[in-house]
Formats: sequence, structure tokens, C-alpha cells
Amino acid sequence: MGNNIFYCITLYDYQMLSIILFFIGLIGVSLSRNLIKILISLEFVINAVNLLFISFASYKSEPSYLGYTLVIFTTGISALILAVGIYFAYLIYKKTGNIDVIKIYNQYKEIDKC
Amino acid sequence: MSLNSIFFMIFSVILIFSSIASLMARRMIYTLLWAMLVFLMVAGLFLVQGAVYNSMVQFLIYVVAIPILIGVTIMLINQKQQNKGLFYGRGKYTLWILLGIFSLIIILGDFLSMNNIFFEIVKNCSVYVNSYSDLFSISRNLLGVYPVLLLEFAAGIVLTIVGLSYYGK
Repeated sequence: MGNNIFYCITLYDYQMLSIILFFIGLIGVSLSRNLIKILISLEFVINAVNLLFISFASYKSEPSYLGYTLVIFTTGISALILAVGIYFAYLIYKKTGNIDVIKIYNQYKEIDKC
Repeated sequence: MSLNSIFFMIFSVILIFSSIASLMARRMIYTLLWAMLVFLMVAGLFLVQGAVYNSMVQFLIYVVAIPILIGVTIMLINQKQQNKGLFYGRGKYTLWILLGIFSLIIILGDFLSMNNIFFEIVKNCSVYVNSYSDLFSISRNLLGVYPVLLLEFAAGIVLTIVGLSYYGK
């Protein structure tokens, strides 16, 4: 690595970057109350995994296009997940009047007790 | 040093900053704009690694299609009440729990790398194998292997216990 700041970028750096993005997305999923913000931070998690796939595919010694091909499918499927999730969030908003998760939980908690 | 490393550093710094900023934003439209920047930087990182087609697909789906979908939904919802920030109430101690779990995962990887299991898996598919050991080599040379592992386990367990104890209140 040496004393130079601009050392050669290795697979390790991409792995650490994708781990950091994964944990930021995990914090966003677990801590945020807004439904749409939860869905966006879920996309961060999926993007971190895609970045890891691409870095493994491009740092391999032999040329392999399996990782590149897999990432295209995961991109499409994650867009589909987001579309369905956004639709459910809109339905929940039309039924309950807000998209705050804890308020929705408190509304339905009283119904379950009856 | 090459041009790719400079682009990697620029893209990664913008990526981490904007992903944190999108979680800390109070209005939903600012969350969406920062998230668009995150997805654009991921597309740039794909382009740095040479995956041109993946970068194009990433740009078309995440920077063009999905923000339209979320933006229309934000317009339909028209939420008057603003969000509180990300770290509120008892939820802010969850950060300590996540930090403890993250450090425990890193320690587990270090423990696997000592037994040369992790190296043997990675050696077949990576170019620079020696860079895996750079992170913990300084501490090992100073103290030796086993005291460093004990300290790391203690730090991870203390972080997790502190987070759990505050979470229960």
C-alpha cells in the first residue's frame, strides 16, 4: 500500500465500500418511520450487493460474464419490487391517512385486541 | 496510481456522503434527490470497473425510471406532517447495536483469515491477495495476535451490551 495516498485500487476497497453502503441501507430500513424512505434504503442494500457482484466479476483473473449477467436481472427485479412496494404504500395511505409506520401500527394494535 | 483509482475515490466519497444525507433529510423529495445521486455514483463505479452495459442499465432504471415512480407517489401522497429525523427517541441506540454487530463481523473475518481458510477461497478469484492482511497487520505487529483478538471481542461485546441496555429503557 505504501505511503502514497493514490495506491492501486483492489478488490478489498470495493468490498469495504459495498459493506458500508449495505449497513447504511440496513440502518435506514430499521430506523426510519416513513414507508417510502424504507423502500429507498432497501434499494441501497440491493445496490451494494450489485456493486459486490460487479467487483467480483471484474477482478477475476479469467474473464467471466456471469456476474455481469446476474446484475442485469437483479436490477430489473429490484425495480419490480419497488413498484409493488410503492403501490402498497399508496394503498396503505389511502386506507389509513398516513405513511408513518408506528402510527399505522398503533391504529391496528387496538383492532387486534378486540 | 491510475485514473481509475482517482475516479473510485471521488465516486465513493460522494456515494457515502449522499447516502447518509438521503437518510437524514426531513422532506421526502430531498431523500429522493440524494438517492438519485447515490444511484448515479453506483453507475459510475460500474463504469470504472469496465461494466459498460450494466452502467447503462443502472442509469436507465435507477436514475430515470424509479425517481419518476417515487416522485409521482410523493405528489399523490402530499404529506403535510414532516418526518422527525432519523435518530429519534429510543431508536438512536439501535446505532450502537448495529455498530457492535458490524465490528463482530469484521473480527470473524479476521479470525478466518488467520487460519488461511479465507485466503484459500479468495486466492483463486482475486488479483491482489496480500491487501487483505493490511488492515490488521499494524496491530498484530505491535501486540501479537491473541491480545488483539481479545480486545476486539471485548469491544464488540461491550458495544452490543451498551446498545441493548439503553434500548430496553
